[in-house]
Amino acid sequence: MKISTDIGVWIGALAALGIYSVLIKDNPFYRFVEHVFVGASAGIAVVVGVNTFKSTAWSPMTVEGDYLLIIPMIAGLLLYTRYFPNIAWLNRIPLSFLMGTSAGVAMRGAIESQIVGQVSATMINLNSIDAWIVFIGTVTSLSYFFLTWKTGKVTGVTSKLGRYFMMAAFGAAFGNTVMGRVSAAIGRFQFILNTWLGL
Amino acid sequence: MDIFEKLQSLDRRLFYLLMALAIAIPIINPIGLPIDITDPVKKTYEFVESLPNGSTVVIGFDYEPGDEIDLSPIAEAVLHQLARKNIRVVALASFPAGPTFAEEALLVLEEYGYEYGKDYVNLGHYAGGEPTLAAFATDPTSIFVRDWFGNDVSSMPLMKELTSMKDFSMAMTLNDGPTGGTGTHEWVRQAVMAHDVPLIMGVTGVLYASNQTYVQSGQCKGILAGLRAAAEYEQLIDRKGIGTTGMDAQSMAHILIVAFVILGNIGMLMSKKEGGRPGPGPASKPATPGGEGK
Repeated sequence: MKISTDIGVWIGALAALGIYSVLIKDNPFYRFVEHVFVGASAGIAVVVGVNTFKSTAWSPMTVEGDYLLIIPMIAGLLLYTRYFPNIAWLNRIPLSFLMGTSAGVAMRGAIESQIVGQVSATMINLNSIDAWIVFIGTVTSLSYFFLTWKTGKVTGVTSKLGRYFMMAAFGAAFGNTVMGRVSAAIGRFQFILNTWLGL
Repeated sequence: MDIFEKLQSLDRRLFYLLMALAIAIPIINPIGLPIDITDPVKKTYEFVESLPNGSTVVIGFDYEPGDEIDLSPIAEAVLHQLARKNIRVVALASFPAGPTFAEEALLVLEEYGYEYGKDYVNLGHYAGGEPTLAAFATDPTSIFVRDWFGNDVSSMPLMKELTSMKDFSMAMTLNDGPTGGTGTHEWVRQAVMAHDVPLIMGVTGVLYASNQTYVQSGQCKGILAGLRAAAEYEQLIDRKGIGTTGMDAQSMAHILIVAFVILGNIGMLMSKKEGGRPGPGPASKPATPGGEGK
């Protein structure tokens, strides 16, 4: 057993224990660590934001003379006009530009990747049991959401089957979620037991 | 109060204590439970193995500290394999904490004599999500003027060779979701759809089900989910790491959870049978599809 002498490791380990202490009951130590965590996260976000601004806009403009960057800088500042009611309308200009750009960039591949690619992968290669399960699962799950006509004998069966497929999918997702949460706990325990306590 | 009722009213802190023991004991004294290699992990390994020696790949460290244990072991395992093939690595991150994880993971490459700037580079964090990734894919040097350490990107030999995403033999995203960063969907759109660059994913367990569809459709060449996948990958590259040592704890924790689920259900059923406490109550009737009541 060789306990770490690194102050950063000690702070991390004690903070982890503080967070875990809420499992016993709410306590001041937990609240302290929780507030430190929120404050530190906000602080890091501010530092990263300032650094991003400096490296991608301010330095290229002032050092390398790329004066066109003044345009996105002004657009960025306009976002804050929403806090001043008389000129709040100005924030719509950069906001609409951001929305338009994001939508345009996403649309480039969205139809192919998330609609055409997925549909064709579901429908075309029906050459294995797995493919048939995916196909039947997709069709019956979709039939569950056909709400435009009254449930009949056939649609009742397919929608019921679809519900079972969805339950199986939710179960798999939940199982993976549990695994992920256990992994997070393992990470902290490895840090506490191995890195901090040296066990 | 009979034993079945007691089962349902156990102090939850007892469960937490048992869970802590189930995780801690195997970490202190590893059991060495066998780890089977699953198909998705094997296929991912084989795909990486098929990459040309000496080519260049781009890896997105798109995750936050909470998911480090799921994704950093995957990063390190894949980097070992890449290094054995002399494949060069460009790392970038859409989350502010990402470059730190990249810095730690890329230390793996130094074991193989990699030289910074020539064989690998940590470009750091980029803001803006998908539009920025799209710009990077068009011209990698347009977004990053300086790397994570403040070096001039344009003077790096590795970056001089890159003109677009097409220069990468593979893209990889280590991803814990799109909130605040670049998600897997965005990587599929910008790497695979826009530039036809093969993509593999390392994702948290939570994201596995929703992203597995990309593998099934062939849009993604491989997927590695969580610590379990990292452990399997470590078996394939024959190098034990955090993933392998964590698997004993993972297995014991899962056994405990399953045992408690079974015990809880037995308790509820027996209580109902004996006319005792009815448990959590009857399940609500699910909504009938197809327009019931129309």
